[in-house]
Amino acid sequence: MNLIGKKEFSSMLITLMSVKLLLSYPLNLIKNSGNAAWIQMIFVTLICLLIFKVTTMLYEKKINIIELAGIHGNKAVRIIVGLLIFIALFLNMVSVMRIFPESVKIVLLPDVETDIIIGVCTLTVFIGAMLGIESAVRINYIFLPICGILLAAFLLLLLPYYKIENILPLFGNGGTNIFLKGISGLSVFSDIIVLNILLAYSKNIREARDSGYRAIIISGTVGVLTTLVYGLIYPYPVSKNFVLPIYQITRMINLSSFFNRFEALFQFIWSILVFLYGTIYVYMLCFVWQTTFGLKYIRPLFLPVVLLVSAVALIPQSIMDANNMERVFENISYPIAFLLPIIIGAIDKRKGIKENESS
Amino acid sequence: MKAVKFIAAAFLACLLCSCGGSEPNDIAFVVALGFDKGTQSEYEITIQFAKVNQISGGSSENGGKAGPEIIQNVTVEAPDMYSAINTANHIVSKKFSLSHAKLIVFSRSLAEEGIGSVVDTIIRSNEIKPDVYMAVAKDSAKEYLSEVKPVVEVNPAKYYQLVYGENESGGIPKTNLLNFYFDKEAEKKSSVVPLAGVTQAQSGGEDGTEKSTENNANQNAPVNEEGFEYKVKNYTAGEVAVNGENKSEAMGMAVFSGDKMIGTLGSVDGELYNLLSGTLKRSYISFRNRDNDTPVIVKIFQYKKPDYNIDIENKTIDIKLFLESDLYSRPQENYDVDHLEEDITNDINSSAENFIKKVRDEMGCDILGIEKKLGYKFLTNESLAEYDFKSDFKNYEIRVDAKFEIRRIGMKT
Repeated sequence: MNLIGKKEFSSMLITLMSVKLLLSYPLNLIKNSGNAAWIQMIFVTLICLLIFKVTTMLYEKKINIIELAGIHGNKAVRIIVGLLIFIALFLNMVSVMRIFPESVKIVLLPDVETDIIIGVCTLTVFIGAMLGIESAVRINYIFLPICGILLAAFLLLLLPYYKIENILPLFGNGGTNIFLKGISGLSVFSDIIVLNILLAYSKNIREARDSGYRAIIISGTVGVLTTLVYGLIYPYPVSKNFVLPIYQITRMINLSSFFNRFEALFQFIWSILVFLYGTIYVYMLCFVWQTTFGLKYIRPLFLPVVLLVSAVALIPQSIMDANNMERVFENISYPIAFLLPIIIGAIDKRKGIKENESS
Repeated sequence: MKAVKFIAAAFLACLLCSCGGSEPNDIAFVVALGFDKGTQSEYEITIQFAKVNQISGGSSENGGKAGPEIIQNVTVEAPDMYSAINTANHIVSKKFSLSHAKLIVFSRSLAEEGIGSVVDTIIRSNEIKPDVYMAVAKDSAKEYLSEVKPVVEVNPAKYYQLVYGENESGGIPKTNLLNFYFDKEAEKKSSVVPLAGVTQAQSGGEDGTEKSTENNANQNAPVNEEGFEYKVKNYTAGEVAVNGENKSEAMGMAVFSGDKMIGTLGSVDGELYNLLSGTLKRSYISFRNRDNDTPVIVKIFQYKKPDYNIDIENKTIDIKLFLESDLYSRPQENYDVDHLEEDITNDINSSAENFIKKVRDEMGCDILGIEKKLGYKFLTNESLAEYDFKSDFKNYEIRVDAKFEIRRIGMKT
């Protein structure tokens, strides 16, 4: 097993978290907090950092939670934990793999059937997963800085459209919505569980911890910037009327008379990121399955997992159904992703203390 | 494994074989759409498209053509824009593409009934960019589009961009579809849209008599007697005579309440609107001369957006304008710059105040979006919604304070 470097690990996590920011996640924040969506994003980033801090305080071993559950419980506990994580990751991936092809159909390929787009996505992520996690992570490490530069360019080119009055009143739909109901916004960081699953690929627990902090801070910053910029340009309540907020703002950019369709660049970045996301996720799902059931080989799992994801992704009849499904799935997956490492870590720490006391 | 890799590479190569879809030669690029009230169906829709083989050289070696030769109009009756395009595609062989549409014109009668449903349909379109310009034709949208003959432009899309987007004269507002949609949905600002029109036939000139500078029907366009744009006529579109092939004009603005047009304002009002909303970057303005009847010409630069300060308790709105200028005509031989600055400042302040009050009291509108600017006074949307600014607006005292300085005197001492 080749180790993954700290920076590569961070960039992988940033990609996993940021992909949702490019789809319908900002819309959910706006529906909840109005023009204060960016404040909700700051809030959930801080909460996520706090949860991660607690997790790292409790979780001290370089073993993923499935194996740790197996050590402290029996095989059944290991399978239950493994399946819970599989479900959390599966639901995360299904949401993206359903919304993305619909979005591609709206903006890029209006004449192509959604089933075909899902099919091409499936094939791409299957091939990517077959090439292994190391190659996907390294390509991602090269690609992510390009995305960062383009994001900065977008934000600068949109400067003439910013209107400070659009984000006022400052607290939008009110404190209850931002700080209580807004907690569900944590779902964007649920991919942090991947860090735990892939602990074996990191050099040591300290490196993994640093990667986690870095990924949360960078993804949170990207989330705050994108929701803030969207809020500065699109006044509330109009801002909640658009399916793909970030795509919507890229459509406004005109570089003189020569580049009137700047969104084409965004679509390119967006597609590559989703393919990388899919590849990493397929590998993760198979890795979780392999670890849970102690299987020797991972490669035979790729095809059935990819087919399973595609089959479930095809269930919603429309993009409205897909959005509803995404909201339901998010609310199931993020508590699992955040709570399981804390619970298992706490059990491990307590048992460790008891063992020390008895010895 | 090698076979799998080969098949995968071959599959990817297939995806790169072409961009698919239609060839540019098979597409008719729509540059403008006109909406009138229909007689048989909901709308009479005029589709204006570019004749690409005539533009910028095209098939000719002598460069592109101009005027009516570069565009063509098709008018059909249909219940919506897309049905109209479908119908028109039975007339024009090429497939219509809306991706280069630059202007959407509504007739006045349609605008007065409400254009919300049309705007909603267009804003959903992924093909039409949200920054497409909007205009209201004083009479018929079809007539306006028929009279558009961009004489000095070889690209019709560029023509609309220059007229509606990059016009520095200030006589029209720069409103695009997205801004209109924002105002309509958020209900915190009344939208203003440029007025478009067709000038009538000129009198005189043909038989050697002196040509009229105005068309017959509108010789009585009101002359502005206020200090700002002194003696300039407050024209609306179609009132200025055009001595040329292109009879189309954009001047003045249509005022909307929600999605319904409720009135019109002239070109001088348009300049004041642009000045107060911070979109007038530079313009030549004439001011009343205290010493004689010849107006003083000043080139004004707005170096900073206006600053709005709203006091809810004392019911006052203080607007600060930040202007500097070049003096282009001297009021008299020995003039006092400080005195002139003071006169011009007073003229700007009184004209701007009168303009806001006129629109508020006569039309009941807040075209400057003062309600939107109230946001900083409240913490939440709920508390802002509890304050009924629309009813209270008429009770506010409006004070404009222009910071105006003459910085330069042109190229002559």
